[in-house]
Amino acid sequence: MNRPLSRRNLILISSIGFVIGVLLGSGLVFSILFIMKVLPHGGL
Amino acid sequence: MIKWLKRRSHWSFVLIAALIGGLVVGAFPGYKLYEYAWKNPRFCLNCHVHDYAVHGWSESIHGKKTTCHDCHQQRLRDYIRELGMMFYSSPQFPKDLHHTPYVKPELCSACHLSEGASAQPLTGPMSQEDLDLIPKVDLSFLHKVHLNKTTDLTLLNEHQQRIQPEGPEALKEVLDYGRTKAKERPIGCADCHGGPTNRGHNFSAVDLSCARCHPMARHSPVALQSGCRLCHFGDFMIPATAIEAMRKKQSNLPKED
Repeated sequence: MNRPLSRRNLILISSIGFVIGVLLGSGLVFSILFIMKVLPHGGL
Repeated sequence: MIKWLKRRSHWSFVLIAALIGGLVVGAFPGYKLYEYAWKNPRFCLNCHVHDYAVHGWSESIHGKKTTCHDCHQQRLRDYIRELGMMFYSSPQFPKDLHHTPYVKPELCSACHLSEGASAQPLTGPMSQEDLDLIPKVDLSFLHKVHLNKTTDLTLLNEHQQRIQPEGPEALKEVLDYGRTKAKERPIGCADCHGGPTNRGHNFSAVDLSCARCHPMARHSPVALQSGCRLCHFGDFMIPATAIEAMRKKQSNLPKED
């Protein structure tokens, strides 16, 4: 069931994962920092 | 490494490893994006198309110590709403901006009143030494007088002063300068230093601000010729203690026969 990945698929999956990770990571860091600045003064 | 991965691999394992790597790497652009959104006025200029205001602000001392968000504080949901507006109804010209933003009076007092520098940390942030160097307006004579008074006039909004296209009658509203009455409230910084006259973000009070509460004074020959501040500006700067000492000295002088 757990077939070894071909080199092509390995690169494809890791690339997709990396791009999604970068997008998620940047979004997450941006959101956390921005919300931490806004909430104390402006509120929800 | 690839062989090792191949041996163990399941696609989800590779995906999770890549995701974690991406999350770590993505933290940096996320931080730079936050810096741009919070500290760079060009982010706000995408919709708030008032380059004259940004120029006035950046040339002033406020431009070196504060950001747009420091003074124009709003709720989180407003930021989300504005994000939507950016895509479907983004203003193109200054005339498309229909309101004067509300700025909390406590923001000014944080730096400009002797006992206000408590709960309003600005992005700066300014050191206590720098804060101490800023003249405290509540210690100056005419500022103190005004800050101890109340008014029943509304805080000005841009729409209250807009000239309607109906000929000479419309000018009357401008001459009356938004004398709409509301609930009695203490006079605040924005009464003189804000409103439509501050669209350029230079924060200097203008004669129109004086005329709003002193409507009769503006008809005097001196005021019509030279404005209010030519004579009264100094009294807004001179320490209140100096005036009090002068009055005390005058009252102690022997009366002339």
